[in-house]
Amino acid sequence: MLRVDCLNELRGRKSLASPAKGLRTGVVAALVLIAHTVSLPAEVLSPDYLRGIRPILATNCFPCHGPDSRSRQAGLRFDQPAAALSRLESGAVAIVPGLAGQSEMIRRIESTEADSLMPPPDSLKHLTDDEKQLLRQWVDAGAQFEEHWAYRAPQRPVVPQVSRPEWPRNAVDAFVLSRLDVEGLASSPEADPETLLRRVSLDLTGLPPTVNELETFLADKSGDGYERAVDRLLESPHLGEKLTQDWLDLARFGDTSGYQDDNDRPNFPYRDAVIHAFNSNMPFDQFTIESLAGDLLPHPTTSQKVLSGFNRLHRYNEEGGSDPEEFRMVYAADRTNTTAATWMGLTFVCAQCHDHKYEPISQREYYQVLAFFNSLKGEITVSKGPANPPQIRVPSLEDQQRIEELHLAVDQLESILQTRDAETTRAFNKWIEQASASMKLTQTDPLSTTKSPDGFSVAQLLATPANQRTDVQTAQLRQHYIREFAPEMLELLTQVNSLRKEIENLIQSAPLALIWEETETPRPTQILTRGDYQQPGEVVERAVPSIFPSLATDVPRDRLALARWLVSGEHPLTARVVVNRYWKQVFGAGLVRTPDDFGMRGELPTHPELLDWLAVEFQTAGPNQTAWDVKRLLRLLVTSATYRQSSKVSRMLRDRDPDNLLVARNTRFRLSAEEIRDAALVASGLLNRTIGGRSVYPYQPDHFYRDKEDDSNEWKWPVETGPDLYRRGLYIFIRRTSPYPSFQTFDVSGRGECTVARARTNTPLQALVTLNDPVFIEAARVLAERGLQESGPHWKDRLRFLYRCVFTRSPTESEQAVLERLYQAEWKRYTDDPQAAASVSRQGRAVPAVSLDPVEVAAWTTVANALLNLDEAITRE
Amino acid sequence: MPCERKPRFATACRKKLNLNPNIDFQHQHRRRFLMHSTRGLGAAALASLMLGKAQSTQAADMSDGLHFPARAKNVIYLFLSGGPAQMDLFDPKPKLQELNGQEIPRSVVGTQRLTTMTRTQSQFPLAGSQFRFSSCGESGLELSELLPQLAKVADRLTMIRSMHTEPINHDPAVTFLQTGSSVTGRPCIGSWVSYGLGTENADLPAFIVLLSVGSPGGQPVLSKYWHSGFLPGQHQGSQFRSQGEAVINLADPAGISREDRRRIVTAVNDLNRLKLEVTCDPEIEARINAFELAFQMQSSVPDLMDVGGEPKHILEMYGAEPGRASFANNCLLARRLIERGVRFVQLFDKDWDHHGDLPQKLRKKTLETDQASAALIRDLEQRGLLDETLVVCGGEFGRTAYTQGTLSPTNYGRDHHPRCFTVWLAGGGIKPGIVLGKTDDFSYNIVEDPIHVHDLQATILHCLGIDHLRLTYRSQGRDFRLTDVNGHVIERVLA
Repeated sequence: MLRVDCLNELRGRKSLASPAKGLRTGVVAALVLIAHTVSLPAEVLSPDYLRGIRPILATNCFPCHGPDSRSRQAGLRFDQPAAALSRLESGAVAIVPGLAGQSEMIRRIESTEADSLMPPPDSLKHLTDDEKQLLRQWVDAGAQFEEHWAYRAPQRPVVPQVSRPEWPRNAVDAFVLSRLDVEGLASSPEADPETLLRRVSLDLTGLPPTVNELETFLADKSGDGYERAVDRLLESPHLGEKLTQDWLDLARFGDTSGYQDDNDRPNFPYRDAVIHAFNSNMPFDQFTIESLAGDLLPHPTTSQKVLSGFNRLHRYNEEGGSDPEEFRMVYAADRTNTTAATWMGLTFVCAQCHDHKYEPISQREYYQVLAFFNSLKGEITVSKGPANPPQIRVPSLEDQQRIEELHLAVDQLESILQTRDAETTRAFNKWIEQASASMKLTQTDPLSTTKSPDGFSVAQLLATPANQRTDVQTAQLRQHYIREFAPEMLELLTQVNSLRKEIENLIQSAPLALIWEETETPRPTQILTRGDYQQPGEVVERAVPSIFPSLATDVPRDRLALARWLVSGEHPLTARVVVNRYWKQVFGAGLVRTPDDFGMRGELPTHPELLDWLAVEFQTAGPNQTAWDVKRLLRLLVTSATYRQSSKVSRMLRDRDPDNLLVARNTRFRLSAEEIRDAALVASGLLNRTIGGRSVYPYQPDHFYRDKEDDSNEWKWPVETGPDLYRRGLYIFIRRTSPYPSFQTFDVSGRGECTVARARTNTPLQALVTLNDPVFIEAARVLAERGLQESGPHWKDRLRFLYRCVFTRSPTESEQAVLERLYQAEWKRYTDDPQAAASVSRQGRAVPAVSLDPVEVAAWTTVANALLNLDEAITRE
Repeated sequence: MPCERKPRFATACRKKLNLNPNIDFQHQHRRRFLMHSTRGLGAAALASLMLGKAQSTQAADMSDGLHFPARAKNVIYLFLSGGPAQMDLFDPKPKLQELNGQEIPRSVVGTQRLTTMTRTQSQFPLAGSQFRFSSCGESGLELSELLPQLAKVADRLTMIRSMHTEPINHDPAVTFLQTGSSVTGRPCIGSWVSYGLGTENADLPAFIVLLSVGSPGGQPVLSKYWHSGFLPGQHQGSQFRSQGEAVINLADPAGISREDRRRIVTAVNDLNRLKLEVTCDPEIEARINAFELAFQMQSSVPDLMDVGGEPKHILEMYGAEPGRASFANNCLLARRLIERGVRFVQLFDKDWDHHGDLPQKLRKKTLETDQASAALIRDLEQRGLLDETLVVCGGEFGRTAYTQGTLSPTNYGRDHHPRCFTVWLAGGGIKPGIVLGKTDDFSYNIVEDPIHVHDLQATILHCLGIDHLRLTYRSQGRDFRLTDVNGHVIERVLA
């Protein structure tokens, strides 16, 4: 059995029970899990540094003897072997390899005297006897240090040989199975087709399959129907929506400013540009470059500028009286922290006030990275409302097309005008010559006696000798001439102007997007003492932390160089972090279980070789393959045999590996807030599948903002009246300080800061949402109507139809029995109370099917309400 | 992520402790508390904590599990959002009145920053309070004439006149007081308490928030202030409303009766049980319990929120009127919630941000709040609840001695002032009738016993039996706590 203590070691954490057993170097990592059943001679083997020793050191010793130079005591640090092994100021040596008895560290941790004991009692840190023993063994065995795995670039490991070569469908499976072989565990059987289709549809698009999709899938007997379904899903525009949904948590995207006033700060073109990027399968390196530095590319396109808004998505303080400099630094730090978390899975934020306590990142290096994000043009003022330069207007695709057409028309007209202009000029010159030369003009030209509408006398001007006429006078004459003799010119000019005006209007009415524009020269960056903007210190230059490969030297040190550095293929973290996130998307948890922390305190990967293999595979171009191809990666994952396993778990397997670290099965997990609502809309057929556009306002409880609305008239929630009520959750307006209430109940991220992983809780308030929220009640009513209209007349047919809509499967006998009871009771009850039936059958704004019997609709609504509340409805299996 | 670790513990603990699975899920968070504070509550405490109200014993019996013997079981926190003027309410400054109209001495202001709202003022004339202070009760505590009712319970109060904070603007300052950090995203104090102690009443959340409605103006009060940050979502404050639906989605839709709802929930749970048999997923067990609890809340919460059944003399004592969402109603509700075992009740009352027309606005605000806050203390006391309930009252910062805008004989305003402000405490764990800390003649700088926000937070936790250093949660590789890396318990105010 997989014991809790071993699991903890796998995580690189302190264990709850006896940690010492079974941790030996020279044994492959996987062996750790079974070693406690195998008798290994302890005296010849050292405890595993990364799994057994470093977690103890990091938690208990690093705070005073680690990377942070300011808090370092006695000049001792355990994060660097050289320092840990050298003679201290006191003359003692902390660690003498092979000689625990002579090592000051061992003496101090084993001390019985309070004033020499380490860690000191007042630190509240405390080593268990097992931990002390482990450290002693490790020193005795030679005190081997090991570099943190995540700071070494991944190398492509050899795909292992496995016990059952027929099982693997691709390399993923070989790694997973070889690990199971070591454990003596078997993989789980493949999930049934219905479950598989629902699973892969949810994982790739965030939407469950429709009944049609299910039927097509079940009818496909070709043998590769699953792969075909995967290909269809990978090309679905909803894939981009799903990937964007997850990305926006990282990007801390919202529709408002996010501080106390929290006014609207619309920026939805960013969201749509991301959807487009994912749907067009923009390689992730390109996406990275455009996100971090799209503005610095040569002749950036509108879309590149919009994507460069990634660094503008942080919250923005509009509060009167706040100090712009304070918040300028807050924003720069936010960009730094977000970039580190998103691409490197690291907690840079800790180094904002002091050297990092656990990672080799100094405070100075922190500000060197911050310096890349410190030179936004015009970022000085505190202002309210949507104007937040630098911004650009981003017309919709339709409008962009119209604008292009208009430009073409203008060009055409202008070329005509140009020709005409030349002709007109010739004619005018001739006219003026003749007219001024001959005073007969007054007889032939009646206008010459009158004043022109502009108030000058044409005759007088003509009488003025040509060489004495001013330019203004000549222009006046020309104006007169065109009005009288060449009116078609005027018409052309009017046309051009009106077209130009239309273009201008289209642009001016187009939505705004926040973009980045770099100041001409970089703003100097100073290290802020204790992170306090009022205590700026030494000026630093842009650079990357020395633990990483260096930045290209032949290009300017700007965000573009930084972005290229991240995706150069040499950075040890980028590909691993990204691959881990996609793994988490489709398996529910990452290979690194702390996707927000790949550092010393994060958990070690469950399958290190697999993670590295995937990382290298992802960032490398193969024959006919692009590097950083997200769809290719997703395809690889979801077509693996590992992915296709059933999530059903035997009690034995659950007890042995409750967290499914070994992936001997697939995992059930709750859907996200948005997916839960989307799934109800799909089941009822209400979902509006439009992609992109302004954010929408579905049902929200009346006066949800009541406590604020007395004084903040900017806070509007104009509930939609049409199909926009039924858009996907992705498009719901995000008021950062008060998120959409039902989403908040289901752990939506607040979008106040970069969120790498959301919680998945399980609470009574969630039950109230799915039971009573108008969205779910309306969905139940419309689903009931669908059942009555689209299935056979027998209640069993109807139930079967509802089951397929909600769960992509048919009900079992026992399920039918439960629901028959409910249906019968409710049918009787609504027959007795037609008024109640009428109320239920009119729930929501969707037009009711008047031809149906309200009693039937009401009774089936309660059944549908029950179905939408089942664990299975909000779970991906 | 913590959530992904849950099932393992759910199983392991249940086996070990042989708990009734039906009450299991509500207590998962306490298991996590154990998990995260390795030397926190012991297994014995876990067992007693997990049993909920039915089997729970006296607070003293929980003490094995707490870091210290708890002096209070519950907290009622009256948050006066906006920053009340301490020198007009709590911190008498005769000298300031004497020097009314004179420029504030440079030596007093020092080099500290001002907000950009007054930074550009050419003059900073001192504004003496227009309100008289007098000694009250046996302790002789001096309070402003604006607080006549509070004056009558003065001997129950402890004034900390030397509070100070870091941020100078509302949002960061409220966030700081709530979460120990001015950066959004950390759990607030109520969430920490819920996480650490859970609720004593399985039918109600452990942390409930009440907002006064009907006081337009002032800084908005945002739901992020009672967010659980990286703690699991069930520790988020639940806002209960005394107008309309008490809890969003609490009411059944039109046409669905209680009997219908009962049948639906029964069917849901029957079907979930079938699923549980097939999948062995402990999450389903938790969900079955959640649905039962939700069903119960649907009837218990509306009753609870209806103060109409309170005797007339109680309503009058608070100045509460059934159906309103006033501060007075909320004080009364706070008592009702505490009585039912809710751990942490936080009231937010806004519009205490008096940059101008301060005398008139402060008069209005104290009319709304003085009677009810005094009534709360008296009512708790007469029910024997004051000993186990810690009452805290104050804003996010103080206000300046100099006027913002023009000073006239009857009018002045005051800007934000984080350097000093007053908070009062009463009840469980607190030594009554003392004044801690001293500010200078201008209530501008602290001259004795500075008390930082983190100290106040540490003290609140301490009264509940929690060591602020040991209530931690790991997120992004770091063990976070409410008091960040600071905080000292204020021993001198402890009973």
